[in-house]
Amino acid sequence: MSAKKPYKKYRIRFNKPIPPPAEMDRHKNFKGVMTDYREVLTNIHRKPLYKNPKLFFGLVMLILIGWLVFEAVEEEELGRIEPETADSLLINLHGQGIDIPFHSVEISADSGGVIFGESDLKIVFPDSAFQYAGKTVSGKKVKIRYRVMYKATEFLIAGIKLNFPRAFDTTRILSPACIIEIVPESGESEIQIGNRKTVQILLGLPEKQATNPDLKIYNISDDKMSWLETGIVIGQLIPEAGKLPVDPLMKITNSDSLFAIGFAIRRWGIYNCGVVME
Amino acid sequence: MQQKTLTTEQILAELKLVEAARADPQAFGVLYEKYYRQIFTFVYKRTGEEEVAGDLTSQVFLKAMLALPKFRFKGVPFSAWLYRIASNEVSQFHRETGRSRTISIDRPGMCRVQSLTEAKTEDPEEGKEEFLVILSETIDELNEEEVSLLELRYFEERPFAEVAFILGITENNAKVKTYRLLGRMKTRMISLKKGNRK
Repeated sequence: MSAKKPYKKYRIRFNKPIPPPAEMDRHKNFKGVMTDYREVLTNIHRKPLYKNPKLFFGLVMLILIGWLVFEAVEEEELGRIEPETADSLLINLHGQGIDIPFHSVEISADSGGVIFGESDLKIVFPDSAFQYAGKTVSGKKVKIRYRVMYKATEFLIAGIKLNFPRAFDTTRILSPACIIEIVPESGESEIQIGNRKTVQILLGLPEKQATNPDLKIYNISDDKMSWLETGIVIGQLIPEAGKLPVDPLMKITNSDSLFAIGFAIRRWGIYNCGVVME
Repeated sequence: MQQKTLTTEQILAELKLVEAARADPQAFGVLYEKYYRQIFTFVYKRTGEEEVAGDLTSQVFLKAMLALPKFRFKGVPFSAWLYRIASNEVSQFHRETGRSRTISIDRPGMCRVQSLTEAKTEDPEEGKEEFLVILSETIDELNEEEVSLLELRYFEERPFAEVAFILGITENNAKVKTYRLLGRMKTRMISLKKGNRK
């Protein structure tokens, strides 16, 4: 018999029989209790992470490596994004239909030739200087298109990227005093300077600056889209100065093997640290 | 009928079983077999559900096994220690589930309380229904510890030492609290009885 239920706090059961022993024993399970006991005991005795030096050290290393990778990726991302932003500005300007015009001269592929340009520019091509698809170009005329730029606005209009690699994977924008771009062509194809062939580029400079050690040569890789230092400017007085016998001529050459091998690179630049070439 | 007190020999024999279980957990099976039904009954009376009582009883024995290295003999039987764990498990169960606490009252228990509160009618059978209603209303106003005191001492007839051990209080404190409780209940029941007659 149960009491009526106006009471909420407790449920009062009067004279309710307890389950018979057989019914109680139905719930008896010492094996289950033992299993739970062993399981709990295993978890209790499991060594905490901070007390396990190997695991703890491993985890710290993992976090450290993860952090370094994250930093490196982020660095790379930053390095990639910033110059591209600057480049896209240059390319946009260049893409407006405005450009710095090229001068065009034809020379013999077999015997080479010399090009005289403004500002005492002299470009000397040796014989059999060109190659196309790995083979030396011969028996043909080669059209040399070239242009010389001195001002920042000219570089911008020409759409020439000015990325300059620095140590520790950082970049800066190159500020050249002069860029000479040379594009050799045969027929409709753009050709390359052959392996181990040296093209000499001569520029007129005041004598006092001709031996400036800060004057360096850079070229730009179409593949890498970055400026690479390839050599220093060698100042040399040339008696047969041609049109300007009074002023010395600057002979610019490159003895670095990369210069010749890397002539897939068609653009040339001269970086002059503060020296104004006129 | 359940034996309420143990002799010194029985307590010592029980301690040997405890020592054996400490050395080998598998030996705890003997204590499990010995006290399983008592603990089940204790829990069942407070939950009123067989399945719940089965689960909680298993939990009680699991916790007892885990706490066995800390067990110290304090003059009460090992079963009192188990009841203490069971009492905590039951309280925790009600706290977590929010279910109403069950209080199981049998006729002898009700008569004991009736005689102590002196709220008897001239014919006990005749006033049984009325007393049960009054008792139920009075109990509903008690807190958890007071209900436990009432259950352990008068519905289950446990000695004060054991009641005190299960509730984690001193024996004297248990006595004082119980007598105060009975006094309050008596006053309340008389008041309720008068109200019902009106």
